[in-house]
Amino acid sequence: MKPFGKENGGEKFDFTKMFRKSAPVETIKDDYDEAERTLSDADAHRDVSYELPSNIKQIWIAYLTQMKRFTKEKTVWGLLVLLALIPIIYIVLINNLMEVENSHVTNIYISTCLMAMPIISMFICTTVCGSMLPREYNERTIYFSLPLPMSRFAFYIGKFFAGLTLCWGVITAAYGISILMALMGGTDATYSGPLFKSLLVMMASTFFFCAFTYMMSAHSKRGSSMRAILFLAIALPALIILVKFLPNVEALSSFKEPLSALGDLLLYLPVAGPDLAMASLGQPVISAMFNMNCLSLLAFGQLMTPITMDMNAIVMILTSIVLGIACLAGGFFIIKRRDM
Amino acid sequence: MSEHALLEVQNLTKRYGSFTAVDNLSMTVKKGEFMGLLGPNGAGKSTTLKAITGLVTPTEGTILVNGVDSMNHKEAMRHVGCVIETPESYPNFTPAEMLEYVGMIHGLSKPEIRIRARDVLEEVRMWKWRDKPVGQFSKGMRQRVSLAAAMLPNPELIILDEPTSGLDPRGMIEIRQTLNNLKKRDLTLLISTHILKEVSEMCTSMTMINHGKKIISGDVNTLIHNAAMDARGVDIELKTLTEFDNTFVYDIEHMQGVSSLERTGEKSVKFRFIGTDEQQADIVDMVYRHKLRLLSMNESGADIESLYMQLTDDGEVNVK
Repeated sequence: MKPFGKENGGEKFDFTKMFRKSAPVETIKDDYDEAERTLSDADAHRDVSYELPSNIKQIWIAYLTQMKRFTKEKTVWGLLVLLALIPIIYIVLINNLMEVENSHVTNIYISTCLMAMPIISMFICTTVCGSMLPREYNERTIYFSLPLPMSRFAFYIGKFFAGLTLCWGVITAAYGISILMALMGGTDATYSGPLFKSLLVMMASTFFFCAFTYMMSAHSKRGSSMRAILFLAIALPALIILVKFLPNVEALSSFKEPLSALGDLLLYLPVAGPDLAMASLGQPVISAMFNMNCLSLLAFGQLMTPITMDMNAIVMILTSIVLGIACLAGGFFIIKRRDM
Repeated sequence: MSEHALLEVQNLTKRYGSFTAVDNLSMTVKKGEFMGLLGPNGAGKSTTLKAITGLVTPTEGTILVNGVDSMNHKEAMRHVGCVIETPESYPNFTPAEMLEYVGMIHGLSKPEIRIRARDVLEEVRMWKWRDKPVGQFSKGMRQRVSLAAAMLPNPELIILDEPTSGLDPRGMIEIRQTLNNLKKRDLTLLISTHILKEVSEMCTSMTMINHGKKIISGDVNTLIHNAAMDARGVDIELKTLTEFDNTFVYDIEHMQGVSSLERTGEKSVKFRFIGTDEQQADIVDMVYRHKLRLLSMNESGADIESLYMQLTDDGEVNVK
């Protein structure tokens, strides 16, 4: 590969190439390799029979194959670009345009860098995990895989773990970049406990988002991610707000306590997990305004308890895991019965 | 389970709501057979093959592969290689990578995959393009990659759903040549097709279905011959070495099963024959009684097209 720069004898980097329509991919004309066969029956092992690997191994193979697919596609590179945007957003928008209180504290600095992480994590999960199965149907590659001597469970769960790995990788990398920026920015007072708690809560919520979207895609042929995003980002938070608001209605005053308790309980739905992850870092109000979930919740700030770092992270993590497993089981139930 | 049966389908039924796609179908594929599953569009061929390979769940019935219930034991499919519903490979993968995926699922080691991949890619004439992305291939090339993947783990039974569908003439010829090579290796094949020529030229046995029901099953040549005898008969052209007189023509015309006789030359006659093998042998005896030397007795009209049209027209058959 030639180095950039004419002075090195290489090609000049052409920035505009990125925006030009790429040339059509050359299709290999249908032709036949006329070469004779080179292997005898014995050399070609034509009479050998093979033992199937275990179910676990087949899950691993499905996982590896999906990961290989990711690396060959633009999806992964798009997600990496998204990651790279984190410091740029911070530097351009926050650092130059407004003053963030207590930004010398590492955790606040990190939470500011990750201000859009709740909605971005939802977007990444629905895009990656919501499209894997519908793509298999649309591209007809599922007719290649399902007749193989591999259970539908191995196929289903192997692909899911690959999608989850990618999402977790992006989120962990986002945290890593933000921590690196904080250290380079000369912040002090790092609180590693809340940082670790924030990461765990975020990963648990991501698990739920991936499983939920994967379940919804199991019966879908079109693979629209919008339904999942609308449900997770708008419908569920709206339900939480409604339940939190109801105790203030005069006609329901006799149910004030149970409704308040229900509202507090609903805050532990995994959809609020990323918000809790940010709140655990001591997210400043300015960052919360950019978060769609928090926007809907904080709009009624006077009427309810917002998500704070006092909430029990363990309950959130457990809820996310249990509901995520339930979604996975639901999705498998659909796939197992589906006629192709 | 029948002796030497690699695949046994017992009372297979598949319903989609109120529509019955396959209705109580039973068939057996014996080791070494090359069976054609024949029927018009919508007959239930693809649904039958999808049920065998686990792509759809049968409403009723059992499917045994090498004596194992494949519906409850997916591992039974390790003996089967299949190409169903025009499957596509991952477009960014190369043929080598697709075969690696299939090989690992079947339990082949990496060195073993390399050996087998070379063999099957050479078989389907794709070795030269083993490292090119499949997305760049034409339909025929992608079909051959799928066929290579089906052959990779040395299956005992290969199931193909309309293998030449959508291919250009050369593609069809190449696939058929590959299938004939497989036949020579004593593999067992089950192919579904609505191309009659494929059945008559390649298959040793056939099962014909229509509206989800089995109509007829058996050896291809026997079925064609018997059905022709039952229907409108066959056209026979009889030629002798020496000239014959009208007495011979008269005697032949009045033999049992002979009709529409026409003298086509000094030494040849043509007639329609509907009868048994014994009655046909009597005609040969008649030639010798007239002290004539038989040159040839060629049968035509007993073809698979006739059989197909007859069976799919009225759906009834009387097979001896």
